[in-house]
Order: sequence, then structure tokens, then C-alpha cells
Amino acid sequence: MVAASLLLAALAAPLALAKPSTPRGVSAARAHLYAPNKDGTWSCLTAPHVTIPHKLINDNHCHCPDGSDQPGTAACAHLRQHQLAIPGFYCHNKGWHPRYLPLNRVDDGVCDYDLCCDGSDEPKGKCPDKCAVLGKERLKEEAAARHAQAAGVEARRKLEAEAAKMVQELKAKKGGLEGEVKATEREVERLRGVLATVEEEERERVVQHTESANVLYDLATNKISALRTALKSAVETRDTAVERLQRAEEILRGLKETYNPNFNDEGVKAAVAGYENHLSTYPAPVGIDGTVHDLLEDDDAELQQAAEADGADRRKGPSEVEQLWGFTSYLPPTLQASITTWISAAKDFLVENGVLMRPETTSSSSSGEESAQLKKARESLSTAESVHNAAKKRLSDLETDIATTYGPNDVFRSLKNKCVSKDEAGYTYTLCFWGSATQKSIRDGSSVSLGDFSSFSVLDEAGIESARLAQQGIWQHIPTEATEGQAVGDVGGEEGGDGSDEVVLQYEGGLACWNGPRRSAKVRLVCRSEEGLLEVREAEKCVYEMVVGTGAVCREGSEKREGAREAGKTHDEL
Amino acid sequence: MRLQFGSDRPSGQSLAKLLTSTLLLLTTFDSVVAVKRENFKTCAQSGFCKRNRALADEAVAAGASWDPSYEIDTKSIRLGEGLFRANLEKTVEEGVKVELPIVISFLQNGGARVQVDEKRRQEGKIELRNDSKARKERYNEAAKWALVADPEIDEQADFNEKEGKVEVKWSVWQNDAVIEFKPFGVKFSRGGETHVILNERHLLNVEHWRPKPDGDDKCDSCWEETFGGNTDSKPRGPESIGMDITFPGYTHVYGIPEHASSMKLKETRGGDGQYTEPYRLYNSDVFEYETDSPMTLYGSIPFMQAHKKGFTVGVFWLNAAETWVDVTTRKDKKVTDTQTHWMSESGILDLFVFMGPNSQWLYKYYTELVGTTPIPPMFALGYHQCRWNYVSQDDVKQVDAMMDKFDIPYDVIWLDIEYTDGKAYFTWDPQTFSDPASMVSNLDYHKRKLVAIIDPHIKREQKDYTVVKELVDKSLAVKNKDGKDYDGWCWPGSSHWVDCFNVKAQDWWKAQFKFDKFKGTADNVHIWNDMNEPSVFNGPETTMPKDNIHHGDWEHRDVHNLYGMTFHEATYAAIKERNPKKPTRPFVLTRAFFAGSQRTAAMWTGDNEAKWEHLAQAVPMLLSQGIAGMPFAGADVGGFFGNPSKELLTRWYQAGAFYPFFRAHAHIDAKRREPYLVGEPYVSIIREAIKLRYSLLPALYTSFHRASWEGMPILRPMFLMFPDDEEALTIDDQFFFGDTGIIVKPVVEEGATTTKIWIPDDGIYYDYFDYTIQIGQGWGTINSPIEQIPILMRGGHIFPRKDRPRRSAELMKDDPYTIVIALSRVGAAAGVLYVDDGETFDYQNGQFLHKSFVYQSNKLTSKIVNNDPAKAKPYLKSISHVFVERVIIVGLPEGAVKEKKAKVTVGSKSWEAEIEFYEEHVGRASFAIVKNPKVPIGEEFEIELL
Repeated sequence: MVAASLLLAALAAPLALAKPSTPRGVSAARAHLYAPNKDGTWSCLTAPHVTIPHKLINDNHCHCPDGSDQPGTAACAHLRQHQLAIPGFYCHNKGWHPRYLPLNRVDDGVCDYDLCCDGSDEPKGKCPDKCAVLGKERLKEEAAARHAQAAGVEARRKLEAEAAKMVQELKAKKGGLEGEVKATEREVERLRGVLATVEEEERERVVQHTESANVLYDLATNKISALRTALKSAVETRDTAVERLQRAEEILRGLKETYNPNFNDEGVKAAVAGYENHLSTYPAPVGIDGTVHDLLEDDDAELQQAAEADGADRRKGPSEVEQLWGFTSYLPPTLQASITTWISAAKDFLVENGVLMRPETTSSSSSGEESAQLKKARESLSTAESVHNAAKKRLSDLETDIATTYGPNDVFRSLKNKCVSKDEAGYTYTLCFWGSATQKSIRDGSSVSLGDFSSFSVLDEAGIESARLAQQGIWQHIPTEATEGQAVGDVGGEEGGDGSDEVVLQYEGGLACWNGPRRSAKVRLVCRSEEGLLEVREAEKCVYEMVVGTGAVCREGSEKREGAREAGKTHDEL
Repeated sequence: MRLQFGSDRPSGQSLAKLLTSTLLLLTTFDSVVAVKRENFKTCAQSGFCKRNRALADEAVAAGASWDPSYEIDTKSIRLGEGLFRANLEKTVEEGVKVELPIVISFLQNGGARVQVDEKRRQEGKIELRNDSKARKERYNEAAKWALVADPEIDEQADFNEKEGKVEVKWSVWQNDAVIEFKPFGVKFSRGGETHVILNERHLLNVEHWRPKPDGDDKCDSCWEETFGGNTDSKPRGPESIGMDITFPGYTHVYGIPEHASSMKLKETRGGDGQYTEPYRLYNSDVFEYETDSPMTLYGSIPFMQAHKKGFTVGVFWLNAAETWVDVTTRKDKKVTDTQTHWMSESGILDLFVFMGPNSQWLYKYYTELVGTTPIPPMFALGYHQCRWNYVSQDDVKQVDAMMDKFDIPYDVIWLDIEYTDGKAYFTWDPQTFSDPASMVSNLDYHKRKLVAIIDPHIKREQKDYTVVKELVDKSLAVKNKDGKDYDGWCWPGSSHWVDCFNVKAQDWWKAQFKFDKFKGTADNVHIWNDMNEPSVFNGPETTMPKDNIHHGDWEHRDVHNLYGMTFHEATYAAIKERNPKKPTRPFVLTRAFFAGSQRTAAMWTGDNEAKWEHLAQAVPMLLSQGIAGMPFAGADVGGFFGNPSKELLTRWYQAGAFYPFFRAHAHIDAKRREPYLVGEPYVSIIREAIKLRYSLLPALYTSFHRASWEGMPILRPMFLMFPDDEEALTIDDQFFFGDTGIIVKPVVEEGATTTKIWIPDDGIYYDYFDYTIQIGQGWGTINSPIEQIPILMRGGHIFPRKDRPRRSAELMKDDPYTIVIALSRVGAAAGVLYVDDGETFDYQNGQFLHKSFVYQSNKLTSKIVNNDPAKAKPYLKSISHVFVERVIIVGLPEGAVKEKKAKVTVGSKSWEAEIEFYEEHVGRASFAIVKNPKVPIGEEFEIELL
């Protein structure tokens, strides 16, 4: 096939020389495709069964189902992109680069200098050739862009090197950590043995010396009393909160019933919608149930009774309460451990939820119930365990960090927590890589969160996340090579379309807007030699779009993209 | 698809956070969105509606014993010159009569005009309360604003006075009328068949002036009316008018927009599936309006058509005050009559009766009176890209570039209120629109336009804002009841409203649009007039107090429904006159409208929602607009409020491609939804829908031409084309597209893969895309997966197309035509083409091409039918390079194509063109394509199949 077309080209070349008739809109390289058949006919490029007289090429009527007969007119512009066998209208653009123009822009009265600086897309005389001037400008811009690109690539390499260094350091750290984990593990084992021995002795002692049960009893009473106090205060807090909620709901109900929707006040609308939503989520008004109060009352009475009854024979043996608090001591060590963990978790839960006070004030709970020896053994083990666990955690974090790929060649690793900012329309916008985004008022210094880094994705030209990425690994998609875009309007050079997929960082969960959604930011990364926040705008309400420059996304050869983009701006200059 | 970064996220907690925020998002957008009904009056809350309805109830209750109190004073009758003039007397109580001068004009068009005034008010012999500065007369200037010309009176009308009545015969239609004296009533008939009866049920009610009695008055809400915390001082007391109009034998009435309701008007006094409230006409900014409701909306056209097999009539209740219309039916054995009851708060009674005899005549006669939609500039028929808001000039530039990048044609990008500096119109936000001139010229490079919003409320507190200063200094604003400049709230906060009832205000308004005043604008900037009901956030029913005072000392109550029209008319004039060197056709979009608005503006159906039911509601609403003579209408594609699903958005584009006015719009809280953002396959489907629109522009433009001279709608209901098809009378979810013979049935159902379509006659119909044949009157089924729009071509029609998709309409100007011929069963078809320069007024000077196409006996003949072809020469010369590139003939009879060649003849020259022929194949019609016949469109020609 290649040989054949070379042959064809070879045959066509002298013919073209003899009769230089490259059809309009066709490059010299493809001119041979338009050589006539021997009988003066010509066959459509991908539909050879359709044959037309050679002279009908570019006759401004679409004959071929693949549009190949009209490379220099708009006659086949109604065909869809996938039906077309030609890349578009070829503009020589002497003085700049050749470009293909979509067929529907040929002969439409517009000089499409962005792609056809030679004006060949319109009838002669309509669009003077501006390649001499435009081409020069653009080549200059392109050179500058290439230069910037090279600097960007250099910057990327630095980032990569820095990342590699960071990984080296992490790996070095890892060896030390592994040793630490092993050592602490051994220590834990040793202390477990100590504890087991002490416990064995202790169990016998508990059974023999009921005296100590009295101590436990007192402890339990105190404990329960403390719990009751805590619960009471929790109930009070809750009651106040419920009352406040009811008042707030009352206010909202009033707002809902009386507001005027025609004011289009987003705040009010959002409040009403939120209230309605709240009502549907919590249909019944929050009432104060009596159970807890009753329980507290009952407890008081029962406890008193129990105390009285107990007063007589509390020294006879361990009471139920004592047994309850001390029961773990009777359990086999394996069970003991898990129960203790469970109780401590439950305790933690209560503390975290404000039912119990901080451990500092309640930690004395178990101090008296065990012998000093046992306690010490337990504590030693516990300390050793936590040291060991911490070491393990550090190691696992480190391993995860090492295993995580921060982009191709780990390029993003060193950007972590680096911040860039820009002043725009009265605000300073700051973005921290993999951190948070903020908007700070220059006037009053107040700061608003635009969200924290949540994910990133790769976007196609329309700003749509490319669906095709779903099946493949992410890093393949920081495009390393030009890929054909979806857009049909932007026919690039002969090599095909320019890939312009972009890396986008998504920041979410910023300060909620009046109308509901939380602020968020979409950050497009573009190639620059230094990190910087280039553009910010609020594309739709509370959704920010930022353009951030970084070397991390620079790739060899991608300056073409920037160049093409620059070229797209030339309308302004016309 | 979003990808998680690294492995240390998200923790359970952040997952919970994420879930919560997702929930929040969902609930925010799904949360209850509903109209606030309590902000708008029901009939019972509107004093005069309640009183007039009560009167109707009393009449029904009284039955035969109902004592009508209106009669003609026989001594006062004067006949002649086509007029019946007399005093109509209202007996208030024994011996006390109120004089109501009545004039009935008999018109050359076979219709009549009935005007009733009140002598005492006319003569100003009344006292106004509360030191009001208002005029004393009943408002009598609605005609001045609504009509283009006085109706032509048939001075030859033949009057025949008899005992207790006058019989009239008039017009070329030989219509008959009987005016009965006591009780008063008028019957309009033709050939012995009565079509319209006035005051048959004796609900005529003219609330005459009387001083406010001391003490308690039984008159409900007559002297003061409070609603939503606002009190109307009603200085003239009760002054409503009401009358019943019966259409005997008529089961279907249409029109009186604007309501989010079916095309066929429903009954309004209860019953299964009927309404309990009357249709209300009181231009209002109804926030988040609901579908299937007689509630008032942004505009009003008090024109109603009544249709029955064989006849169509109409009535035009020319009154600009708040108006309510009750519709009921009376079934008597086999005959069903439709009864209507019209009630207006103030003004004279001014009623036009149109005697058809069919829809086409009705449109002609009605629009002769109120004017037609002029031929719009071509760009206005392209696709409009709008959003509240494109936030900056860079944003505009980016959207513009993306549309090109994705090969989606569009003509106009829009700027909503945020482009202004603090909502002060005629200014630009210095931060975001620092250089509007280059933005505008950038758009012009591809012949695109900008439409900027300009509303009637003028911001009060704005530094260096000369507009408000001039408005106040020149005293051109609407006044409150105390004669001070009315101060209300709208987008900018505290504002004044320009009063375009004042000619001086109109002139001043025009001056604001000069390029040196509205800086940054140019010839390709056009205007959107929103909020012109007028919308006043803190006013009663979101509008102005009724006792506000307009130029001429008329109360706002008298002119409310006209306000919006005076405003957009002034804007239209401003755009037309801003560049005297090159006057081009203005494009103005208005939200509020009245009868006559069609002359200067297009309308859209206001703030709809991104819901399937709103997509479905759009077509009936647009059909009703056409029925009322204002066919240049559209609905926001995608739905204004909320976020449409991709499917809904796509279906909406497919429907919108056929709206006369085709604009996508979105609320500021909505997600971005420019068509290139939707993702595949939707982008491609939407692109195809928009390209389809562009390819049909020549046909659409031709239909607009027809609308401009005889008022025919662009979207035509089935019953307009097939008036005798009973089934078609209620079909309002499909339509004929102009003169093309194309039936479109937009898909408005989620997940639909097939669609039922009504085939209104026994002709042959072809699928638009693949020429599959559909035959036989009745319900047909068409496949309608997401990429397909159900469209049929009716055999017998020819329409023009341009198949080269360009970036904007103007760039298609020189492109060649495709002529599509859908043959009838007997192998014939006909059609028209109208084209002009698409932007100037030269067409008014004969610079256009109007062509007929007739196909019969295997031959297409195209003739120039300009009324003055010689005059058109300069234009025809200017299009001499525009050719026909192909002729597609669908449904050829066997043997029609023998040689696969066609003979093309222009004048004395002829040549041959090639034909591609496709035999009939499994349900698909045969078709032929005449390739490149090389005939200029501006020449008369013949193409004969050989």
C-alpha cells in the first residue's frame, strides 16, 4: 500500500510537473490523489465505485459520498465528519504553516486568517494574503511558546528529579522504620508474657481477698454517680438545644409563609427550600421524650434503696456492682483484652459525644481495682503496644506514600501543599496543590473557602471529562501525544488534530452559597515554567474556574497546542 | 468520571461529608419549586371579577325571570354610513336611567365593531375621590395603541328598522345582523346561520359612576381594594364592564394568550378536567409558573377564535385593563354552544366581531386591524445562545469560539442583566465588560450579533448616571397617585419606570440607543426588553399600583396591559433610527405584550422550568400565540429554572429547532449547559437539530413573509390546515411548519422510542429523513429514538432549503438552494420561496424575490411572482450568483425517470442535468436527485425529467 502510493506519487509527480493542476484546497503531497484515470474520469477516494469526469472535481457540487471530489469548495460540507475522506481545505500559508480549514468555512465570505493566513479560503481578491505579516508574528509567538515550553519541560524535569529525591529519602526512612517496628514488636511480646504472669497471681488474690471488693464498691458508686451527673448535664444541654431548634423552626416557618418569591432573593429562596427539605427529612418535630428523665429519677430511688440495703452487708462479699466492674478480672486473658478494648471504645464514644467528660477527670476509675503490679504490667504493655502501633502506622503511611504515583514520573509529588495566588477584582485567590482554595477580600481581609482538593480528572476540549478515561489508568491520560479531539472545527496541521485534553483538579466542599451548593473550584493546569495562578472566574454561581500554570503538565512537543491557541486569537488583531 | 488521587482519601468522615453535600445538592435543586398562587388574585379576590361573576350566577339562578336592565332608547337611534348609533340605557332603579352611547360599525370585512361608553364620565361630570389627578373619562385610547388603522366601514350597509329591532345586511360576504332593543342584544349571522350573539345571557354590565355613599355600601370592593398589603385607592369607584358572547354551535374556542394551558380553551366554571377560575389577562411576572392553568402570565391578547366544521369566527375585546374571561358550554340535544363572559376593570367597551368565514380570512382581517409581524432580519431566525449570565467579555469570546470549535451554528449571543454596571442600563460593568466594542466587533467577524437586555426600570441611586437624572429632570417617568415619580423595586433596587405613553419619553428613549450614548454598541447589537409587564418586586401582584398615573393622566389600571408594548415599540423605533445612514431591521424580544406587539417584537414564554411538562407545554402556548396574531414566539430551550437532564435538553433542542424564535436560556443558579458541554452522543444530536434548523431557514423565512402580509401563523395547528377534521380540533402537540407541508411532532416524553403522530388526511406523507411512506388518516407511529425527530412531509408540497451548514445565517447568503419536492399521490406539488437581503428595509421597495414552484407531469416550473418584477432588478442582479444546487423529488410515479437525465430550460436556452434515481424500496418512497442543474435562483426555469 505504501509502496503503491509511493509509486503513484512517483507517477503523478512528472504528470503534475507537466500539468501543474493541484486542485484548490489540496496539498502538493496529496495532489497525486487527484490525477485523472486514463479515460479522463476520476474515482472518489474511498468510494471508488463512484466515478465522475475529472473536470467535475471542485465544480461546487458534491458528487462523492465521501466528499473527496470537492476539496476546494463547500459543496460537501453537509457531510458529517466521519463520512468525509478528506481532512478539509488545505491552506498553503506560505510564510507560516499549512493548515486544514473545515469545508463549511470555504467561500462563506469570511477570511479565516486564523487557519488560512493566505486568504485562499475565499474567492480570489476577497482575502489578501496576510501570511507575510501574520506568519512572521505567529512564528515569533510560536518560537516564544516553544521556548516557554522548553523551560516548562525543564521545570517538569526538576519537579520529577525533586520527586525522585523525595522518594529516595522516603525509602531510606523506610529501612529505619522497619527496624523500629520489629524492635517494638519484640518488646510487646515480652511485656505480654510479664502481664500474663502477673495476672495469674492476681486472679488468685482477687478470689481470696474480698476486702479489696469494698474498694471496688466505692469506686463503682462514685462512677455511677459521676455518670449520672454527666448524663443529667447532657440531657439539659439537649433540652436547651431542642428548644433552640424549635424556636429556629418557628422563625423559618414564618419566613416560608410570608416571603415574597418575586423578590428573587436567593438567600430567602434557599432558606425556604432548605427548611422544606429539613421538614421532609425530619417530619416529626423533635420532642423531649421522658425516658431519660424517668431513668434518672428511677436511678436515684433505686440507688438509694440499694445503698441502704447494701449498707448492712456490703462487707460480706463482692456486690453485683462490684462484680460488674471487676468482672473482667475473672475472664481469660484473651477475652479480657477484647472486652477492655470494647469498653474503652464505648467510653471514647461517650466522651467524644459529650456524654462523658474528658478522660483526665475520669481516668482514675480503674486505679484502685487492680494491684499496682498488675496495673504497671498492663500499662507497660499498653505503652509498648501504642509505640509499636505508631511505628507500624508510620511505616504503612510511608509505604503508601512511596507506592502512590503522583503523576507520570511522580511529577506532582513535590507540588504537594505548594500554593499560588492572584489578585482579581478585589479578591486574592489562593490555591494550594492538593490542599485548599480560598478567596480573600482585599478590602476587609475576610476569607472564604472555595473548597478542598477532592479529585482530579482529565478534560476534553469542551471541558467535559473524557468518558473514555474510565476504563484506563489515569496517568496514561495526561496526554503525552497529540490525540484526535472531538471537535471537528479545529483541523490542525497535516499530522492530524491537536490533542488538548487537560488535567483538572477539582476542589470541593467550600463555604456554602446562599442558594445551597457549596463553593467549588475547577482548576485547569497549563504548562508554565513556574507555578502560578493565571486566571480566575466564576463560571456559574459559586463554581470557580481557575487556570494554573505549572511545569508538571509540560510535555515535549506540546507547544504546538499553545501555538495554535495563540493563533486562534488573531481575530482580535484584525 | 472523576478519579481519586492517591490512596489516602477519602476517609470515612470525608465520605460522609461528600454524601451530605451531594444530598444537599440534590435537595436544593429538587426542592419545591412552585408558583406562589397567593401572590396573585383569584377572581374572588379581584372585586370587579367577583361582582361580574356574581351577576352571572344571579342570572343563571333567576332563569327566565332574569330582568335585564339594558335597552336601546329607540328615539335616539341614528342609522346610516355603516353605523348604528343610539343611546343604550341602563335602568338603575325605577325611573333612574344611565345613558350609555353605543356605536355599532359594520365593516367591509364582514365584521362589526361595538363601542359602548358612559355619557356622564365622557363629559367629565363626575367627582374623583382622594384628590385624584386622574382623568375622568373611561379609557378610550387602547385602539390608538393596538390598531394600525381604523377599520374600513361598509358605508353601503343596509339597515332595516323593524319593531323592536334593526336588521342589517352588509359587506361582500352578505352577512346579517339583528340588533334587538329590549333587552339589548346583537346576533351576527350568515346565510341564516347565527355565529355570534352578544348579550344573549344578558350579562352586559357597565358599572356607572356614582358618588361613594356615606356609610356601609353593599358594593363589594368598589371603593377601595386591598391585596397583599397594598391598597388601591380607586378614585373613580367601580367602573368595570362585562358582557357575554355566545358562539352557537361552536364547541371549540382558542386564543386569548398568554396562559400555560392547552390550545383549545377549557371551561372555567368547573367540571371534569376543567378550570374553576376564569382565564385572566393581566400582564404579570409570575415566578415559577405552573403548567395547565388559566392563571395570568406575562402578556395579553384579548383575541379569541371560535371554530366549528365549516366556519371560523373571532372576537377581539379591545381593552387594556385587567380582564377575565369565563368559558362554558351549553349542551342542548345535539347542539353544543360555547358561551364566554368577558369582564374588564375599566375603560370603554370596544369589541370587534370577525365573521370569518375561515381561519385564513380571520387572520387576514384581524391582522389588517392590529398589524402583522414584519419580516424579521434573517439572523433572528437562527439559533440564539443565552444564559443569565455570560459573565465577561472573555466568557462571550470563549463561548463564541467553542461553538465554532464544535461546529454548532449560532447567530446571536445574549447578555442578561449582569453586564451592566450595577443594573444601570446603558452602562457596562467596568471590571467584566471593559471593552464591549471589541467584543461586539469580534462577533461581527462571523456576522454574529449581540442581544443585550434593557429593562424599563431605571436605577435611582447610581453615581453619575445621567439616564436617571434626565428621566427625572424631563419628567418622563410613571407617576404615583400623588403625581410624584413612582419609586418601586426591581433588579437595581429603588427605580423609576420610563413612561412610553408619552411621545417625549419615546423620543428620549430613542436617544439613549445612539451609538455615542450606549457606548460599545454597533449595528449588530439588538435588544431584549424584559420585566416590562411591568414587574415591580414590591408592588401589588408584582406590578405597579393601579392608581399610578401615566402620561395623559390615565390611571395605570386603564393601560396596564399596554405598558409593555409601548416600551418595546419605543425600543424598536430606537434601534431602527439609531443609525440613519444604514437603517436595518431591529430585533427586539419582549416578555410583556398586547395585541399589536407583533409589529415590533418577538416574544418568549418567559421563565419556564427544566421539566418535561414545560417542554410539552411550550407547543400549545406557541400555537396560541400564532392564533392570536403574534407568531414570532419561542420558549426557553432547556427550561429556565433548574437543570435539565441530557435527554430533556436534547429533546428540547429538537423541538426548539422548529420554534419561530429559537433560543436556549438558563437561570443564574443553573449549571452551564451550552450545547457543546452535554457530551456525546448528545452534542452531535443537538448539532444536527440546529443544522436542520439552518437548512430550513429559506422555508422559515418564506413563512415569515407570508405571516407579514396575511398574518398566517408560522406554527400552524392541524385544524388550521384541516378545518373539517374533528379529531384535529384539539391536537396541540404537533404542527405544520409554515408553508412547507412539514408536520413536526416534538418528543416530549422521557425515554420515548416511538411517537404517535396524527395524520390529518388521506394524502401521502413521507418521513422527512428517510422518505418512508405513511398513508391514511389516523394515528401513525414513528420511531423516535433520541437521535430522531418525528417529522413528516406531506405529499403535494415544495419547499426550499440550503444544505451547506455555515457558522451563522448571514454566511449562508450566497449558498445555493436545494429544492425539495414531496409529490402527492397524483405526482404533483407546489410551493413558494421568498428571499430578500435579510437585513435592510429595501424589500419594502420591491427588492426581493418571490417565486412559485409547480411540479406536474414530471416537470418543475418555477416562476417569479413578485408583484413588480421590474422593480426587483437590482436585487435580482445582486443574487445572480446564487444557484439551485439540487432538486430532490420524492415519491415519483413509476416510469417517471427513464433516462436519468433532466432537461433544464431557462428562457430560450436549455441543457441537461444528471439524475440520481432510487427505486421504491421496502416502504421507502422512490426519489430522484437532479444534480447541479446550474440555474440561478433568480431566473424563471423549467426542469423536466427525461
